[in-house]
Amino acid sequence: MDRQKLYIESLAITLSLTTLCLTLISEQRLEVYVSLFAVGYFAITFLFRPRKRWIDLTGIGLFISFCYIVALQLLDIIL
Amino acid sequence: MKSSENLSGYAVLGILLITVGILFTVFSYLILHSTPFMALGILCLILGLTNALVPETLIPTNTVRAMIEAACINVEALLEEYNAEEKAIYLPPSNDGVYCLVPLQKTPVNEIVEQLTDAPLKLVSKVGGTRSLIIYPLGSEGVRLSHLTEDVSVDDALNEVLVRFLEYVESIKFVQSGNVLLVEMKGSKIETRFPRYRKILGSIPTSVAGCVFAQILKKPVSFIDEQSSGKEVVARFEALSIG
Repeated sequence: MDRQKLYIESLAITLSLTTLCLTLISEQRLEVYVSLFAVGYFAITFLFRPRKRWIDLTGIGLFISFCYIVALQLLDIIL
Repeated sequence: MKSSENLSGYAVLGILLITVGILFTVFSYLILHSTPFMALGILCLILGLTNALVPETLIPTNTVRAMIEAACINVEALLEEYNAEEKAIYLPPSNDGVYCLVPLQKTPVNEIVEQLTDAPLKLVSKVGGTRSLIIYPLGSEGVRLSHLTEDVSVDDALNEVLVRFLEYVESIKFVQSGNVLLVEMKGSKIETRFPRYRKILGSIPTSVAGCVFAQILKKPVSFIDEQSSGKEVVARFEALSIG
């Protein structure tokens, strides 16, 4: 199977299962969803190392969001 | 991303998912006040961006490598058939791409430099009384397809063709000292295992650099030599002045 197709399908399945599992346990914090999306995205991208037309905008966005969430949690702990 | 490319299936699906994702996220936040649905919207956005950034077709690396080496075999065979020993002179494009003149006799370049650009475009040509081979090197099409602009500098052209477009090397440094053009290429990703090709035209990245010089400087450029160690190549050329 085409590696690019496999990458997109794996990403879709992983992130969908993540959303489903978190919904089933009634998770209401958006940051938990986003954090797990970021982990799942980077794990799948690292496994498949797909070719991209341009810079990895999705990765950059998820990384910034992840850093923001971690920073907020740290501030909560410190303050 | 070039705007001139037609949108692939992935790109169309990607744009659709991005639109749906944004609308669904905003709708879930403002109207539904539901975190799982917002997460679903973000999921669509992530998948949409991923789809949009994935190229439609990907030619396998081994196929590309086989094609490049196959192209070199033909040139190597020609050089061997005619027992070529002299270094190539890269000539600026006339109608098609950059082409090379390989003298089949030992002749000082300054004796034939005035007639170089007038050489008839046949496989074996006579230039100033010297029998020479006319061949189109591997880099000729690469330079043509990279659509270099008229006012681009040599440095930018080398980076555009060798690093960004063809991705043959990871970085390039260019220095000009009088007529001598020195190019240092690091992280070469392509091997040239044909000895005569290497000796006469230079390795594949060097040959592409020669094509870039001829294209941008618009004058004949003679290949002098190259030194390579591991993935690093340092090549020297000489820009020839006519008239």
